[in-house]
Amino acid sequence: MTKIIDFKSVTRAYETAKVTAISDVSFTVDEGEFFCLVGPSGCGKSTTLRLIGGIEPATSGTMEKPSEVSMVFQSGALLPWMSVEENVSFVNKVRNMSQMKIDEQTTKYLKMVDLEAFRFRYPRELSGGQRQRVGIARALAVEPKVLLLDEPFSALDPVTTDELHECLLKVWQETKKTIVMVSHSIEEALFLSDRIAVMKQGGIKEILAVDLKRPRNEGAKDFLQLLDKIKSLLEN
Amino acid sequence: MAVRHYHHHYHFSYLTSKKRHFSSTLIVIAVLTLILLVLFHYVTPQRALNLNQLSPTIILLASFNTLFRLLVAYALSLVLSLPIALLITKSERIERILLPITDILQSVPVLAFFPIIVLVFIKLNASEGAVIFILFMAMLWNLVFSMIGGLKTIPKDILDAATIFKIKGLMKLRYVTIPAIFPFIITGSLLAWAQGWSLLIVAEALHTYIPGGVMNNDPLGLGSLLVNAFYQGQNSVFLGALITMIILITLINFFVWQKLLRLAERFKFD
Repeated sequence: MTKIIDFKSVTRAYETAKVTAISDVSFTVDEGEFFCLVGPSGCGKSTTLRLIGGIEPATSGTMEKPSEVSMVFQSGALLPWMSVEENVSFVNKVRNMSQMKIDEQTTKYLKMVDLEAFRFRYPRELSGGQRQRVGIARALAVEPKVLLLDEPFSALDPVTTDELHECLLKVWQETKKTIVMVSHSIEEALFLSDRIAVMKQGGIKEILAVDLKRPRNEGAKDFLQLLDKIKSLLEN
Repeated sequence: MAVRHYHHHYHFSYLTSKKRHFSSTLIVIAVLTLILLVLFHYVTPQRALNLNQLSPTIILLASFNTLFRLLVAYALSLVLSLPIALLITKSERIERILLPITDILQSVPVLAFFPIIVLVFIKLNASEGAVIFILFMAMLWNLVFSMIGGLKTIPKDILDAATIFKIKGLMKLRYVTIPAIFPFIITGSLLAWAQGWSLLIVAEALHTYIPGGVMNNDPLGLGSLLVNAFYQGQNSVFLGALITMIILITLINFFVWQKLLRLAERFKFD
């Protein structure tokens, strides 16, 4: 497996607040891997994601990462004045892609997230789950090397969350993209990812491989064992 | 595709919009008349002083002159306020220095330090410029502060998304920043126009700035008509100008601001 992300002793400190958001964080992500960062609020998981996305710089340490990354946000971060189609296509438009190619990409990814029929709707006319699907399609339409997700499902109801988990797994399997996702739900991380980095107080406590066959059963014994293990890691 | 469908939402439907057809016809006629009357006015200037000759044409001409000045002042302040607001919100350090300065500028009564600048305009024989300058200064700050308010409330996720998708510079301005503050631009514009109308009387009564000035110095407009008619005790002219002004403001509210406020709803974040 080729490494696509390689963090070596990365620290991120803020000048104003005297706290370090993350300190001495090291991990790698393989190409095509589904990697999850879990931990309580304030543990530094979102900061790690923002460093990968290049939204924030690191204070020290070395980061190897591709520049073609895109992100799905917790709020969706859709532009309310643009239709679903425009939200998905406008980044490519800004990048001067040919109109034919733009349409092709837009249609392809809207189909992938099952939103073809909602092309001309506006974000305010969509449910929370549909908005996140648009966010996923928009992130995919720029053909990133790595797809970042920042707690994308935490504001959704359980049924919608399950649907979106299926959707995301389908997208991952079809596109074979590398995915790095931040979640505060251990169950979600266990259900979706290949490996889980358990974070606490700005550092990675442990990285666990999830060697469970998909589709995973949240009631299965080995699933629950891993769940307990991560819970006890976070409690200590 | 995207562009076509976007327009599709705003395009006239020939079946359903008699009202729209009617209103747009009115607007086109009004704009054309405005341009023509203002042009005529510049070829053979009319002064507000000739109140004896009061006719609907004079009132109409005065209205259009006034509208024209307000429009130019508004356009200037709109164009200038965006870079000012962007500069002030660019970084916290710049904001700490610039915001107090603009705050002082906006709270010093516009009229207090104007006579001098206005006199310069008049000496240059540009009385039209003087009126527009006063209106411009009155309008500018409303727009600047509304835009600053808008820029500061753009959700962080939206800005992060722009960073992630590498949308920068003019593209960011066009696709993200300006639409995001559009509702604030509209409310700022509303305030700016209100301010413009309320300062009109002072702005057009230029003779009050000139030592020993006479009413003949005033450019024709609704504001100067109001002041001078009142001064000369021409009550019917005064009333005519006042009613015209109220009708104009109501029409603009109805045909412009109501529509823009409704449109602005589409641009609001949840």
